[in-house]
Amino acid sequence: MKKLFAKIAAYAVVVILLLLATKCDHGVKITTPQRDAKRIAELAELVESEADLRAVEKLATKYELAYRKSISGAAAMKFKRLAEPALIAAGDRRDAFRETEDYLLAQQTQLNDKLSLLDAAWQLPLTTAEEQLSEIQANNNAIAEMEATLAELTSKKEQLGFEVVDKGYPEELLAEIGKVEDEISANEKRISELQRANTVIEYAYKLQQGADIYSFAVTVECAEEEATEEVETEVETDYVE
Amino acid sequence: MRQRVLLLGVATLLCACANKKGDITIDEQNAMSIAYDQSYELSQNIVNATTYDEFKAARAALNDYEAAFRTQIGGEEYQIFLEECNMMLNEL
Repeated sequence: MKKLFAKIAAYAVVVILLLLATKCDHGVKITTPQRDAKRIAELAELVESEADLRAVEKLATKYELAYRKSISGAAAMKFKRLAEPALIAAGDRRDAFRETEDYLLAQQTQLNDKLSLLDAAWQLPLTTAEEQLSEIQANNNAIAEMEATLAELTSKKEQLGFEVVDKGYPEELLAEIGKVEDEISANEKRISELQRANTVIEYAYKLQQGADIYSFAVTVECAEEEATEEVETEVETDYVE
Repeated sequence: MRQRVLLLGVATLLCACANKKGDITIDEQNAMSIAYDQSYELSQNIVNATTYDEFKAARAALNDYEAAFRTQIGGEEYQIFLEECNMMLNEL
């Protein structure tokens, strides 16, 4: 008998604890809609990031639910109407911060990329101007070819896009579009690499030799022209003799 | 034993307080003018470097200031530092 009473008492304690836990509102104490909306507005003014905004929105939701549970739906609606402008302004503030952060990141990336480029230029072992200019020209030719290929692939992707819609999105066509997109990415990546390689050579001459590599191109062309003229003069002289 | 513990404590304190090479403190009050001045000077050092070693040293100095502005100041001053550095280096 005693054991039975003890069991019942234990179950009763567990049930009471569970009921108390469900009533627990985790710290939201409502006052008046105006005062609570003002509190939300003050917190919303401090929002800078996504996390801050989420925290304030969550708190506002808790208040709204507390009003709905404890007072009425009308009180909850009144609170929501009063708090909404502050939450919208906080969202705008969060967007502005995000834009600023994105801009700063872009500036950081630009600076780091430039420094890496200059570092590579300082480390590039220079050969003759003729050889390096040939390398630049070869890269430019490859870039031109790849750009033509890229244009064809882009057109093909567009065509496949229309076809896939007409035919109801068949798997094979979707897979083909995926392959074309991969080829486009690979081409774009290769073009970037070649353009970068050319820039590194140009900077290498500027930094290591203090000269524009294309001035060597003029020098080389002039030297070639002079050599050709000399040969022609010799041939004429031989003919006259 | 007590003496050893005391010596160890003093050594730890000295190490903690030591101004490590590369640690830069930026005066918040003058951060804007420091951003303009340092971005110009550091970028010029990179542009005017005549050897790879000079370039590396100049780059390290610029990176140190960039980290200092980013961690200590942030905001508009950091933005100005980055923009000015980029502008100077783009003229290369």
